[in-house]
Amino acid sequence: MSRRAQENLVAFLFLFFFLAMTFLSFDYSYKARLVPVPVFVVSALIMLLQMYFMNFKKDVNLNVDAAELLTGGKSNSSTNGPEKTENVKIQKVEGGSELSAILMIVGYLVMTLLIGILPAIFLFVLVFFVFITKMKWYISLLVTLATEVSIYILFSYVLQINFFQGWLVKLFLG
Amino acid sequence: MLEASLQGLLLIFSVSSLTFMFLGIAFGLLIGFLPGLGGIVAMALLLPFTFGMNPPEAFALLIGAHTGTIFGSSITSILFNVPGASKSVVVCFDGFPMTQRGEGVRALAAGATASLLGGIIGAIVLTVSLPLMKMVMMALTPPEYFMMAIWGLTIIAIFSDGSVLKGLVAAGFGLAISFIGMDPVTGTARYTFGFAEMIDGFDVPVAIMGLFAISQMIKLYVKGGSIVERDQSLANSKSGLIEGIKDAFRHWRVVLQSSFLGVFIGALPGVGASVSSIAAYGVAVQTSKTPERFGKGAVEGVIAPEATNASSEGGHLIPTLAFGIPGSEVAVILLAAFVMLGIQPGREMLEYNLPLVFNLVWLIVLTNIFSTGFGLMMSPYLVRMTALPGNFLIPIILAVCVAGSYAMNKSMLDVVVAIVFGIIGYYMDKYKYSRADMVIGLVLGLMIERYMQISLTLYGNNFLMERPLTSVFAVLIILSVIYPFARKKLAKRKAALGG
Repeated sequence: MSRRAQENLVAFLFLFFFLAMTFLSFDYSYKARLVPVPVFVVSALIMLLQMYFMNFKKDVNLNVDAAELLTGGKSNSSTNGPEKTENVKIQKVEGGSELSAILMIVGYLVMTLLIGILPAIFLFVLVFFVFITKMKWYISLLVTLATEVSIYILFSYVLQINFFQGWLVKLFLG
Repeated sequence: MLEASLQGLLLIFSVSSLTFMFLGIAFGLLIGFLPGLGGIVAMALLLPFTFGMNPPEAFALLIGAHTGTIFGSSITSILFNVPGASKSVVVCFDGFPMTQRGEGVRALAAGATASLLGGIIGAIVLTVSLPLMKMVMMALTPPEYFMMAIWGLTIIAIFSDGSVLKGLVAAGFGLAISFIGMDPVTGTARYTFGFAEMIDGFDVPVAIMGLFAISQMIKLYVKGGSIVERDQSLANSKSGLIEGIKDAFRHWRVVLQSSFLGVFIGALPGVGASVSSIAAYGVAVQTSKTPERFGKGAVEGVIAPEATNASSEGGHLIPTLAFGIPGSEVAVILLAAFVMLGIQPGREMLEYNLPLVFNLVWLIVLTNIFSTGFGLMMSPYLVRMTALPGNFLIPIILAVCVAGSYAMNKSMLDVVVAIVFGIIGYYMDKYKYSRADMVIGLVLGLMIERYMQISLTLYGNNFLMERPLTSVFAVLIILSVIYPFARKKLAKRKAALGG
């Protein structure tokens, strides 16, 4: 997907959100929607304007650093294009794909909901170290145990927090 | 008064008070390290232990813990882009880019020194202004609070890296999220889709944790490598430390203006410390000769919120001590401690317990000195953590974030919210919709709505015209927006005349 198509998709999602919120607002009393509706409408209009600029004003450079708005001067990002924020040479470890990152996070959340916070931390950290970081299994186990024990001591022992036990645990163990 | 001040100082110098103060600082630093848990959690956890203590010991423990959390949460904000508490989120904006540039030690040292100076200024202002603040606080009403929140919104454009329109959309998104939950006036549950858990809305620290910490871990995973190259993180540790300390003194104006702002906003009941750090950052940008450096690793961007966060502690105590009105959630805990210890805040305390008031003032100063000393000592070692490979940090930070977000309200919904906001934050960052703008909208949204509704009820539709002070704020807002333009033009004219 081209960058423009991606930008349009994100802009459309924002626009949809603002329009849906505006529509929902009419279920509430005048006082309850007094502040939200103008905010949603103005935001939707700004989004439409942004979409118009993105698609029909190709000559307009949208990479305008807002500091320009304050100073009237040209900043690096507008004269030289977007600044590379990660300007440090750090590619020692290969990065993963975006999809795998999102799946990993969602998987971790599902695991937490099913088996509870502490067991999920143990499994997630161990699996991550063994399969992604590719550390030796016994070192992975040691670091995982250290993480688990530290979190247990800090949260359960010091802060007296009873962690969520997980739907499966509740289902089978009551 | 001098005698009471000396008595207050002497109350700290007992073995038990000093021990409790150091215990409090250590505990606060530990809690501050944990994402989302701030001073309120540290103090609430320690409150039961103060039962049976004498007032100086109890104050030493509580104030020590609270001061410790301020620096503890700054460490994670600067080094990992993981705000320990919502008021530290502003520190991330420039602190983390400095770390990425290999200037983590300098950022930590500048932040710690600014925090120390802010804390001392806050304590001095608290002492001097106790009799005066009553008049100021009485003069401010909901329309002025509303205008202050609008003033906070004027800095949105600063963070709109990429496109101003996208920045405005991000702020609109933050405002929209802040409206989810119970309407502050009618009590209607809005945009909750029938989920009872959402009636209280989203917890701001949980959302911030997702937006910054979890999204940063996704980014680190995708990018690979570590936050900073090892050689870069270790290089210039000593000079960075000295540079950082010098920075805080070099930018003494930023420290002063941020500290005074922190005390002023801190003294206003119901206005959180996050608002004061946003305002201080905005003023620092608007008064800077090079505002374009902000958000990309400007040291003033670390100094301003750190000084404000520390000085607002003195500010919070003004209404608490003078009227028994808590200026913040932290002050509520302190008020509870007063009641538990049999102390009546207000006029009686100022007249008959003045040494105790000064004991609190001195504690703010001393705990700031000790936690800053610790910060300066540890920063060269702490910064080494950023050179650890991302694949080592990611699972540990994610695990702590999940545990921390659950710990805030003991609700799994918070964990879901943190992760959803983490994914949203990652894509917002990727497509240049400023997360900082979203946080500003999120923090100020409720304040704007609440005070606008109250103002409408009290003064009618023309509430902006009814109050002369509101007009003063309106002028301030206009001035703060046009000042950078005017200064630029004046500088050009000066240069033209000089040339």
